[in-house]
Amino acid sequence: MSASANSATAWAEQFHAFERNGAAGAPQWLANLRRSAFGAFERAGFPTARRGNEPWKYTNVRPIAESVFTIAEPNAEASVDLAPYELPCPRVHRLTFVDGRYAAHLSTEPASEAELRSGALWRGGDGPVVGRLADAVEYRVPLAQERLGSLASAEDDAFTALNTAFLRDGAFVHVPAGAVVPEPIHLLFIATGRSAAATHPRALISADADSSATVLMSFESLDGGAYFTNAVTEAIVGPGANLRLCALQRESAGAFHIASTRIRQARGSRVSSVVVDLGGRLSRREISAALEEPGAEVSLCGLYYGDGERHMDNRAFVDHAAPEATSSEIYKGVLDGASRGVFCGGALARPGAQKTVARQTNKTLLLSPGAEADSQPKLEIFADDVSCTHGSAVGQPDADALFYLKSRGIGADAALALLARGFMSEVIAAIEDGAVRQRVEDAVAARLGGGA
Amino acid sequence: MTTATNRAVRELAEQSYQYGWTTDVEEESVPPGLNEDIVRWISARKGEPEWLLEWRLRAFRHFMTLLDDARLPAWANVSHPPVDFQAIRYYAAPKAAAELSSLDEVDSEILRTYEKLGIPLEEQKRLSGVAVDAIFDSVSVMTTAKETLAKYGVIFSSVSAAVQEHPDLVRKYLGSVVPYSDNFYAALNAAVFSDGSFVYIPPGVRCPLELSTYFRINAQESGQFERTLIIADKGAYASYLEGCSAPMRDENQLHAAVVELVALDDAEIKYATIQNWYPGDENGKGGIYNFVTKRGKCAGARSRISWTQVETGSAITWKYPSVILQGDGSTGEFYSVALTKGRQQADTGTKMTHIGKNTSSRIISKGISAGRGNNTYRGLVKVLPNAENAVNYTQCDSLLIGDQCGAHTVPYIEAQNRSASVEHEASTTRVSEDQIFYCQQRGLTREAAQSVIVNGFVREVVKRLPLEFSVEADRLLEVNLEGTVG
Amino acid sequence: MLEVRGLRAEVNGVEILKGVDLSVGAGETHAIMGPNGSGKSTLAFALAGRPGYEVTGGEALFDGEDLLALPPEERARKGLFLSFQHPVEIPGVRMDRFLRAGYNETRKSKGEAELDPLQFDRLIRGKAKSFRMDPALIKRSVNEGFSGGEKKRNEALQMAALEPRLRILDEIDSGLDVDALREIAEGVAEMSGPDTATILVTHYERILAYLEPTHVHVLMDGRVARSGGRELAREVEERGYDRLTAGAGV
Repeated sequence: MSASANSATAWAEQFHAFERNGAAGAPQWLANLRRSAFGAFERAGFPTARRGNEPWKYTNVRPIAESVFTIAEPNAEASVDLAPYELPCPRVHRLTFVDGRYAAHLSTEPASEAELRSGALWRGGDGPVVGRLADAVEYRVPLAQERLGSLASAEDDAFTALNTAFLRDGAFVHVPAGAVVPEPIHLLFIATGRSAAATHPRALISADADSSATVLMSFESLDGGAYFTNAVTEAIVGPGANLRLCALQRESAGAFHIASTRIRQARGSRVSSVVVDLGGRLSRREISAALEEPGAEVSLCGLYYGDGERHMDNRAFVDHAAPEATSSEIYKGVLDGASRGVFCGGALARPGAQKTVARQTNKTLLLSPGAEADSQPKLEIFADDVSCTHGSAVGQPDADALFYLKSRGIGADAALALLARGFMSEVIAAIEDGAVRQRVEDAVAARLGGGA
Repeated sequence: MTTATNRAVRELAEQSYQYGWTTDVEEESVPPGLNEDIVRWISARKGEPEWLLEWRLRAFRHFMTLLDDARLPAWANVSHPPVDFQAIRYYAAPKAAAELSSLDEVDSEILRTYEKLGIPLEEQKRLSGVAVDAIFDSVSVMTTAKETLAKYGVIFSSVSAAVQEHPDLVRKYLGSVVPYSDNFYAALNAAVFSDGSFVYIPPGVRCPLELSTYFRINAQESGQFERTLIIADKGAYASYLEGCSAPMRDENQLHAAVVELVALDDAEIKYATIQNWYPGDENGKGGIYNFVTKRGKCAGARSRISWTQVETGSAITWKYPSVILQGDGSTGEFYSVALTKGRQQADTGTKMTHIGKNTSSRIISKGISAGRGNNTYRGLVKVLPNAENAVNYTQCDSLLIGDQCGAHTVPYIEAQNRSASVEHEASTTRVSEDQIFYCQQRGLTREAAQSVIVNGFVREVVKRLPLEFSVEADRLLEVNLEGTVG
Repeated sequence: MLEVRGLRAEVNGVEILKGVDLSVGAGETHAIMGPNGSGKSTLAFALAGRPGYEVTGGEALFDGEDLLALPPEERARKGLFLSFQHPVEIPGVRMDRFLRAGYNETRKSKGEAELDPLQFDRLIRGKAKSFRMDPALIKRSVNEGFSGGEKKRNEALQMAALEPRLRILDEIDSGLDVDALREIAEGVAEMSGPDTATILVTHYERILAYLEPTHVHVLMDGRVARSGGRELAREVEERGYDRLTAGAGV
């Protein structure tokens, strides 16, 4: 029996065990959602890099497909010091999950049943509903049933299918109409790092009309095993709402990290997303935004840093389904060692999406002879009154700049790190929330060196 | 959109094809269908040596495997009903078409055909600095200026003749750039190719004439499967031009050509195409399927290969003239204008594979979509690990005329060497109202303004063509785009 | 030559011109002054027929003919020239070819013979010299990569080539240094005669030192608030638009 067949059997056994135990007592709609998702996963299997399979042309997930992962059990011995992960700001809404399980002692108080059930009941009159997905399901919150799986379809993607099949807990964020949340919402996913453990974090974010919020999802690890994080996020953004998303990925050097984020935007809404990939052995991050009504605006930014044999695949896609919408994608990669960075950008202007403005940029710095960059900025245009551009550049750090720094007494490594950080600063600057930006800056500095 | 623009767009979309007539000439052809006997028949008909027949048969078997496994290329952004490979006539030739050396021997109907197309086969036109190989359906009917070229040691003939006269050269290079196993249509071509042009420029020779091939599909149900092979030996230079047209027919006809270029040390080949195969009618009925594999190998140090194409015809175009940059310091270029209107679909671009050190490539692609046309640029720039100091610059711009068409860009960049500098820029725009008004304020009509702006959009590519062809290209774009102001 | 009566025009559904009256005779130079947003450029565009500048009322007669019924190129061929405040860039289209096309269209419409490229080249080179324009510019793409000053010289050059009778110069002084302004203004003055008329749309008075206006109009909120002679321009310069109209009791 082949390794991947082994793995498939293991997934099936686990799913049936999960249905009997962990998932038992779930409402029927969720049981159905999980079961059909697992069916979709079994039919599709893990994607392969075979000829003609465009989305997986550059990323081979065989190491995941051929491994046997088991749903992570709570690690009772793990003691977690929150300090390194905390945001530098006085107030924060934080939900922490350790190996996929909610950790109350590391979280701020989650939304109560009443709050979950009614988005109108804000804590202190100005807060959002930041609660556990498991609670929202248990308390039969209509929004959970209505929206879970509405954007991330199990049919689209085997990893999304797997996440949905094993969906157990995660974040349920609801920013009611008109609510402006000044403090960041922090969804913290910590892996204790046990090898062969799998977690399937899920986040459902609803930002209703004219609301405003910042959500940071950070993925951290305590130890360096070959574990597997498979995250799915859905964000439904109402008319005039302003949602700022940030993902900070600092998985261990042996970890597999797959993440998919799907966003749907209504009239005049604004979404800004910044993803930062600093860890993992293999990471693949897909983000897509559907601009379904006129005047929607989205900015998808990302940066990725690779060394050793890391493989990072970032994909950003914007669907201009309505006229007068604006999108920009800016992804920057710094590749050292024998790492490989992949970017695939896409913008689709559907028929009738006049006055579309779509910009894409991908820039990669290659620091070492063994690094590889693949870039694929795509455009599909079916409307004539549009302004769409894309650009891509791969190259080395500017030799003059490097020399200039060295002439001021800065060592070669530090000079490179400085230039790399300068190169990335455009993306970091796109993070609007000061505390989140500071957190990301610190993480980048810690990873690249070159001084704080 | 204003009514004036609407009208311009409609006229543009409905521009009719001017080369749609047929020539009444007695043809020798095989019955439709593809099998080993046909392959053997074609090879025998041409009196080919055993090795070539063997090569064809290997290609045929490979093709049949691909066909049986339904491994047709499916990645291109084009759609068409499945091609019935058994309904195609794989050989059609005007009777008595042994290669001729004097115009007197050419069927007068055929001569008239080329005259009508404006191709200089007549004696006095030879003075215009162009040597022409005329390919009518499956075979070469006439190659001009052979004597002039012979003085320089330049070989310019049909591939069939070269197989007889220069078998060593053909054997050495045929399939060396595009092996029969390269892709589905390359396999088909290798099995059934009937003719094509062959060029060899000896070391140090700058070919004094522009070499030109004119392809004409005339017969019904026939496909055209020509194969062109051009070798520029050390320090040699050649400029080669090809033009294509076909009659209007209701059924789709298949054109699956292969072009191989080889440039040795310090050699340079410029290859230009003006492709105006019949595009089908405004409803998408009929037209040529232009599924072509073109590739050049910069085998030698400091060699250069440059592709320039103006693609205005064909129902579907699927072609990626590419360069393998193997020699150190070699240069590859791709300049393209692709116009789609009516129901035309084009998926075209290039592959630049950087292998040697200090190689450079440049890609300029201009796509114009009008009517219900769909235009895709697809390109790969690949820098292999040992390709130190590779440089690429790519610019691909799309122009949309009307709101029923599509423009797509699918670039791939794969850089495996840190000293690489790869830059890609692309934009998609339409003709702006400000530009049109500015032209109108200076006395041009809307239609003329549009034509002027489109001509400006493609200028960077068209100016790369040799003079005779740039005039032809401008005229072709003008005919295709309403308005005559240039 | 030009009779404008009660002209009203909208841009994006907003009424900008609210009834403009203007009468320009041969040999005259009219300065249209006014603060930002008063409708100066809109008037120029409406007369030239720019799409998006919708005329909702009034009339404009050019030599007694209804100007507003004509497409923009017909207005141009009849001798109306607009020098753009922001000349448009047309990538890839060579200046000389572009201008020759317009020039020959105009000649054709008058029943005159067209010029071949060589004849036109001589003509345009001569004109470029008189405007001290780098002749290399006329082989470059229309306005692409031109500096602000080069664009303005280029507008003047085109005007010289097309020999219009009614010249509307929209903010020809913006983005020019004093020397360039003087040169261009002198060139325009040289091209003026008893058969031509000029409408100068301007924010500042300084260009009037070079192109002496016979009439000055102050446009305020879509109407001609005051008309007068050269002295009105000086008054504008000294008192500013607000006090000027306040004093006039508008």
